[in-house]
Amino acid sequence: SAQDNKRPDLVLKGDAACTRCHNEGSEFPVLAIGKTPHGTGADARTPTCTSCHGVSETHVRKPRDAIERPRPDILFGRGSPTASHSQDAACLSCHEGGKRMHWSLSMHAGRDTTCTSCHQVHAQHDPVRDKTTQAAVCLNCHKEQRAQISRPHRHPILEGKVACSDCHNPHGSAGPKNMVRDSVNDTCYQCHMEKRGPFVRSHQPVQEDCSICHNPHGTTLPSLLKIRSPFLCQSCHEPTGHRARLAQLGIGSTGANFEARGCMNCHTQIHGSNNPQDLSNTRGLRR
Amino acid sequence: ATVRADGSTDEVSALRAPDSRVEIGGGHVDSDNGNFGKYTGLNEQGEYLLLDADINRREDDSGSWLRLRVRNAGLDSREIRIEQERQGSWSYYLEYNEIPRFEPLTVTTGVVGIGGPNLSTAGAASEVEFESKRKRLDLGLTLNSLASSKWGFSFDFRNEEKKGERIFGVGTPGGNRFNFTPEPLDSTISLIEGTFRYTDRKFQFAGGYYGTMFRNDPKALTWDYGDANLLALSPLALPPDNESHQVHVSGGYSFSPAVRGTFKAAYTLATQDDTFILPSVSGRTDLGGRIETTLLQAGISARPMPNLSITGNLRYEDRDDRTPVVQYIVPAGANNTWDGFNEPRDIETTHGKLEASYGLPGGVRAIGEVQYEKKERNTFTYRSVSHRDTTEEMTYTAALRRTMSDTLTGGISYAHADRFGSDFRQNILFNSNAAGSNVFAPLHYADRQRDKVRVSLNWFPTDPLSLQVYVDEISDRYDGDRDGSGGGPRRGEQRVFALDAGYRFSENWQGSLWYNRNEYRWENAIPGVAYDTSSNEGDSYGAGLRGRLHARLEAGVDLSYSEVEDRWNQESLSGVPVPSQLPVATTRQARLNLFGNYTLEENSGIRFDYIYDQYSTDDVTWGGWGPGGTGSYSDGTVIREPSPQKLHFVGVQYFHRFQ
Repeated sequence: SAQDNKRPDLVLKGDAACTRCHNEGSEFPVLAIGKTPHGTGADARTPTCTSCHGVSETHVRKPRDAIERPRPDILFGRGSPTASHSQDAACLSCHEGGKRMHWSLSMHAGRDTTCTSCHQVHAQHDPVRDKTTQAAVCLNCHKEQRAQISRPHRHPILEGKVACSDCHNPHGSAGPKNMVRDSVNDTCYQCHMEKRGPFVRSHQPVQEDCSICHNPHGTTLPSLLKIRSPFLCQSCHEPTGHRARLAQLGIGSTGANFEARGCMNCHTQIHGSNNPQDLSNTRGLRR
Repeated sequence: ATVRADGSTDEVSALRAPDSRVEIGGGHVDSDNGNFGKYTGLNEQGEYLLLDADINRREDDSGSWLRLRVRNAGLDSREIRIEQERQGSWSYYLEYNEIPRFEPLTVTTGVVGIGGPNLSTAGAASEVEFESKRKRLDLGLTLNSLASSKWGFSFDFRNEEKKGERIFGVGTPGGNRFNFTPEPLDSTISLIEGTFRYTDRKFQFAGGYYGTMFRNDPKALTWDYGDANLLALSPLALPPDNESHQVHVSGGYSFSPAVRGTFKAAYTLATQDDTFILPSVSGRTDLGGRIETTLLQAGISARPMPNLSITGNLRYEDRDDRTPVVQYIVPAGANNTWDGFNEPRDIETTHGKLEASYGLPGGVRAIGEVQYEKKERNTFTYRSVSHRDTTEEMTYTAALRRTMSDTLTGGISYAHADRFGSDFRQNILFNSNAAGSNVFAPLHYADRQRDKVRVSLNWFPTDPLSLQVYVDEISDRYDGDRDGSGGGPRRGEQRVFALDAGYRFSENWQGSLWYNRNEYRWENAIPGVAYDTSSNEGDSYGAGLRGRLHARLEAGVDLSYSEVEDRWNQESLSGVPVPSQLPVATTRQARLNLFGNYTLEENSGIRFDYIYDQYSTDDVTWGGWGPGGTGSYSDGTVIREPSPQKLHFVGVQYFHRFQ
């Protein structure tokens, strides 16, 4: 309208039609988007309100016969009538490259998780992009991990030193389980490269997948093991000789297979050894 | 209000300008602790400097940003990141980040030389503090849109030094004696990545190089504690230097708004040719390790009809271990499960997935999914663990989901997976070729039937109340024996139940409650001896309250408690009673966190934090390991986990906000 044409834009190009209602006192204030990269007007790529929400003609100018003001063409968040892929399309029209390239095939996209399920687009501080607050966003849905990350043996996620996104790309990836690298092991090697080898003496499951033995989200067992020694080891190794012995406290006749480092009291180099010799019969990952 | 040239007022300008904040103050921890401060440095009684900053400046005319983040500057977990950006053109950042890990166990030992490559026991036993600290230096450079709005380039470099000591030990091949031999940590991990990108509305492409390098020093750990049996194990090989180089391309193409395809192809060469710490009878001075990994992935998603979505994905990874096969040990006798050759590991994985999703009335979607995975692994003539060349797994999933609703969303799904594979190879013994032990199907090779049910509900019965229910149950049944003996992996179970409630009491007050029940069980058997059941059952509770007590005072409280029980039961299969059962381990953690922000002036105030943390465990990992216990290090070293641990933390910080 003529009045809107006279009203200045406050943050984004052409936002006068929106900010005449959506000021700081309204139910849906929008000016804070000015604090974000989306509100950086000098960047020619910066969107307008309608880039994301659609032209929304009837929302801006309520039809005379309408009792309630119609919603914008594209609405985000809980209760939105906009299909999830249409919500995502508004974001992907600019953000489909880079780490979001595989979004359309991701489990999140397939389960109607939208960009705004996790991101707060209008706020300067988007909790999911801050490693001190990111986990709280992810744990809203991933309840199993909520308990695990507080276990005594864990990664420093609660302290904000490791973030979920250090290992997972929630936007989808070519690797399994949205791993940021092409495999579980390649992701773990980013910080635990000493386990990579290859070694003179290798341990097959170590080379295949760290998560066969470890739960990276946290456990009550040292080294984030899924099952305690010797039971974990006895799940693969043939029951001959000392491998068939019962778990027992202390040393006794069974060896120290439960206390201290368990089977690793002797088989210290469980991830592999590069020692080419076999002095004292130590080829079994012992030195 | 002042009206600016662009027609806006000071008030509007403040609402759209980035905020900055600086906090400085002090904190006090009232007691030493192993659990609370192991990753922050708040592990000792004393006073600490608390200094944090989050500075964001933008030049509106040019779109230039300067961001400075300082966190925990007064602690051992300090990190600093500075970033400059001309939005839409270029950006770079530099980051310094320390990640400490203070050993929560207390060690009293007479071992000297800890942290170095040569250990001895000349010293008197005294308490030793263990610390591994990763100093991560991230250097990032991102350049965008140099040539056009479609082309970009980014370069990332990360260098991470890890120094300190790690609890470690060695055991005798005979005599059942153990030495405490802490491992020195002095290694560097480097990651380098350069990527070209092309992005337009339909086609996105990225390609580049990703290189990693691990360097470790020292290479060997030696010790002499005067015990001939244990001395025979010295030296011990520490992790060798290794590196990898990857070239990769990936892309996505939107054939139409409803059809999109993506792909990735990558080739990685990983090598390990560090010099051996001892001579080898093979004549080699290094392994010559070489692994070539090829990844190919392609996927497509489509909406052929408004209500129908289909996705398909195929992923192939070939890990080809081309390390030379050499005899490093010459076996002295017959009937060994090994022949002295090294064993390069090839693994070829093919994974496919097809999913269809159909929109039903009421905002409900019906989802059907089929997944197939095939793994092919190599093996060697003589081995101590059973092997099959191929495992395959089919997974079928059916689900109903509802997302488009103001009041009730969620889903229910059921999945059944069937893992099977080729025949197991016969284990034979070196020299004699007699039959070896052929009893177990290893955990990740065994036939397995898996059933999985998941229910999640988000209910908003009234505007201020929200409820979430989450149930996840997995049941695994293994065919873990190869000989009908009933041995090997038998069963695995997992149950998760979570309940969350949130309530908004008023515009200024909101609260939350949550509960988690996590259960895991694992059953395995040694034929003719016993079957064992490991279980882990935990209950976790949480509550939170946030609000405004006064116009100047915002406050909150978080309370959490968890109790986890680990049980290990062994039941005899032989009729001979199990000598003694293993004790239950109970771990309890509780934390109360009170915090508040009191506004002094418009842009400044005081932040207050109080934490009470309590941790206790009767886990026997180290509990009986020492004098008077059931086992010990023969050099006299004693390791204990202090329990219970209780501490109070109080922190006060002055904060200033500005733009």
